[in-house]
Amino acid sequence: MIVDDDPSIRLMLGSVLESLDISFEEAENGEQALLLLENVLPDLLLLDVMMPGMDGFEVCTRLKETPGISEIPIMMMTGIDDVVSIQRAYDLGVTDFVVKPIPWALIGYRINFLMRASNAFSSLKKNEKRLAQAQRLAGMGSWEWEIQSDKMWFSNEVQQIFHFDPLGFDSSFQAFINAVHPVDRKLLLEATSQAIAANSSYSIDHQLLLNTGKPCFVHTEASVITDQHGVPLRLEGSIQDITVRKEAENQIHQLAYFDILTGLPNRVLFLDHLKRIHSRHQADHNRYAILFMDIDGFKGINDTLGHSVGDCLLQQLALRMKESVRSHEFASAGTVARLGGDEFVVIIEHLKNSDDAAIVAQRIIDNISRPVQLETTEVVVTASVGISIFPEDGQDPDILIKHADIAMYSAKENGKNTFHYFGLTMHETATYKLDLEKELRGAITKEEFTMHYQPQVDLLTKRILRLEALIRWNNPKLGAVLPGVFIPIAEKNSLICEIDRWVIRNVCRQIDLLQATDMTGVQIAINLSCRSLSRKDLAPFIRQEIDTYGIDPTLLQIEITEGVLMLDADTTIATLNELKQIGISIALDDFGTGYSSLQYLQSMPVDTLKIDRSFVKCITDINERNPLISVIIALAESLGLDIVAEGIESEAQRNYFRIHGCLAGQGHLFSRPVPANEIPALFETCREGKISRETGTGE
Amino acid sequence: MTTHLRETIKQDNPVYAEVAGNPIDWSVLDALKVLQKPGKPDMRKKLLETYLSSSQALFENATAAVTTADGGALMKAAHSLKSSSFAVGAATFGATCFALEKIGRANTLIEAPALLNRAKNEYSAVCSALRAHLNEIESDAV
Repeated sequence: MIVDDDPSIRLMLGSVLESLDISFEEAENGEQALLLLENVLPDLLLLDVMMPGMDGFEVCTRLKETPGISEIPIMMMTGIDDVVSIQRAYDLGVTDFVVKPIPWALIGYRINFLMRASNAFSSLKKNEKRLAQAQRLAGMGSWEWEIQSDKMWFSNEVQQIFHFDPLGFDSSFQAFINAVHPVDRKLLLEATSQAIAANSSYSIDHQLLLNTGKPCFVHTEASVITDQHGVPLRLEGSIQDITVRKEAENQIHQLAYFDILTGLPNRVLFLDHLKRIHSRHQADHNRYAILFMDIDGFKGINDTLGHSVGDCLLQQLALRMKESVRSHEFASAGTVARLGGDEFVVIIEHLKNSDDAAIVAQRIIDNISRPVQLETTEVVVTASVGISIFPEDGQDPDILIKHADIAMYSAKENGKNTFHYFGLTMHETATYKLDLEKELRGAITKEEFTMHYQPQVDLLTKRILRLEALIRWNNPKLGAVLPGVFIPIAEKNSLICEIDRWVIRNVCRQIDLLQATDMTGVQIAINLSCRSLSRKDLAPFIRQEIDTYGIDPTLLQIEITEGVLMLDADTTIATLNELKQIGISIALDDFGTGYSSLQYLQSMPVDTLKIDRSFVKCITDINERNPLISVIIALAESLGLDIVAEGIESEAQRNYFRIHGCLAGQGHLFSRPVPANEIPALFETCREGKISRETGTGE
Repeated sequence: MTTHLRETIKQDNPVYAEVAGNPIDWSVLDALKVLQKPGKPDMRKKLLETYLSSSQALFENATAAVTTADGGALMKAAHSLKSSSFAVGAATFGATCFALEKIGRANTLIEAPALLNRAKNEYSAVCSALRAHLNEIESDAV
């Protein structure tokens, strides 16, 4: 833009610009120029000093004050020896000057040089702005440290990262170090002196100590700049705020090593921690303990109250466990971990004696068993704890965990809400049980089961009234396994249902076989598990087997225990009623030992009561008084039920029950359980009245 | 620094030296030939026409300022006359304008009438010389 009141000057300058292919605007005076500048942004202002109205200085001053146009380069055109004006123009920040008369041959080059310089300047400014923008976005700033003079220079961004007041900062390297977190100062100082000594560079993540108190992580890089002789002059560096990245890293770490629900260390972190503790204790010959915990009946809470309640409960319990170990002098904090589900572990380090582990275990058990308030409900749970101790209970962490787990199961089996130390017998038991379960799975197909039969006889005539079918298992590896051992294991899973079906089928076939002999008409009783009875498909299966063998349903009796009503009572009662309808009779086994609830007795379609052997065992003399037995017999009579005494081993017992109104009995006095092929002999003996007095194992 | 600057300006500007006797330093107008683009209207012709028309009013302003003894008005008019005159090579007249500008700025107008008289003579010489030159250019063009 040309600003001059002299039309001939404007004309000449215009020609010059035209010859340079530069488009331009003209203004006669300052006011006109400023007005034009509102709409156009020239690359260069050719400005006359003395003009009517607003002069060149005034235009210059206004220009410099106005954002957006303050950077326009100005070439001031002054009178030949107007030195005062030139000085003033320089002070006002004018870019260049040219004296009048204007050297026309040269002015074009002057303008070109100025435009080039101005372009370079503005692209430099632009780059500077871009760099500042990039640094701002990256949270990154740059700094320099003059080693000799100990002067530091920072970009704006660094000041923002450090939150320091530039006025209150003495710009020395020590001031910079003071802003670094104390834990990282040594690291940074050493890296700096090493870099200077070796003319090298460094790259470090460290923390800053902000007066805002907020945590701040930065990444600092620096390299040494030397003179031409290799003498270090200064350090040039950058510093980047990586707090957000560090926080994200922490979050990832948290997710990978901590349980989301409870915030406790997870299995991964626990195992890692345990490994380190193990090697330390091994080296120092110290003892440590692992406590393995399981919440008793937690699955039931999840199933009945829902998983969200279960989750809340676990959170509360996790807090209590932490409290239990934190407040204890033997347990270091933070060693509670959640392995998954309702399984937790605690490590107790530097164990002085094994009782210390018990103190912590009891504390946990006590804290867990206090009622937990969950939104609308109050829940009471208990914990079973297993303890294993290094080095007595295992030489490596995996075995110690396994042994603590076994001890926990032992605690569960012994009434729950308690702790057990690991013992070697436990290990053997656990291994044996695992073997047993494995072998049990193949027992049906390998035909390892057999049925034995024990008679129930008339206590007066000793005539056989009924046979009780009893399962026997003979495994090539384990030998003869007692039902009391393998049935509870089979009951833990659906194996028991398969076994029950095998029994039903086997007994139906036996009844069919007896039909063709003179032993026909004798009833056989079978024992069925609670699990089978709570299944809707049991009654149809029994009906189908009865049809298959074409036997009389009344020849079948089913023995149940009072426990059957614990599992889905409705289905069980429906099944029993259905069986009863087709003519099958029901006996209640082990009467007097369980709940012996009269209500149960009434709700179940029972035909026979079997007095538990524990009552029979008490009787040693015919004149003994046992009011409980009398009550049971009276009860059976009044309800119109048959009654059978189990486990009769002596004549005294036989006579006692006969006299007191119990007419049937079962026991070794009459016969031990015998295999099917011995049934004829059994009948033979009974008919002859020669009751065997053999004793042996079994019922 | 100011002194040093002054010396530099003098050395760098050969046109500063007055060309005695001749109202027009033709070398100044010759130098403008470099700006002439082929096929475009004659630059010098336009410049001379502009000068002749705009300087007339400025000279009248300067005369009036001397009559009314207005130093400021004299300074402004003389300043403008000075720079445009130098631009067309009227160095002698330009120097006189500069002298008038200076006494106008200082507002010491005792010498003003005499200087103005000299300027008047120089100005009319400049105008005749430029008009003659303009005619020359026009007849060249025809």
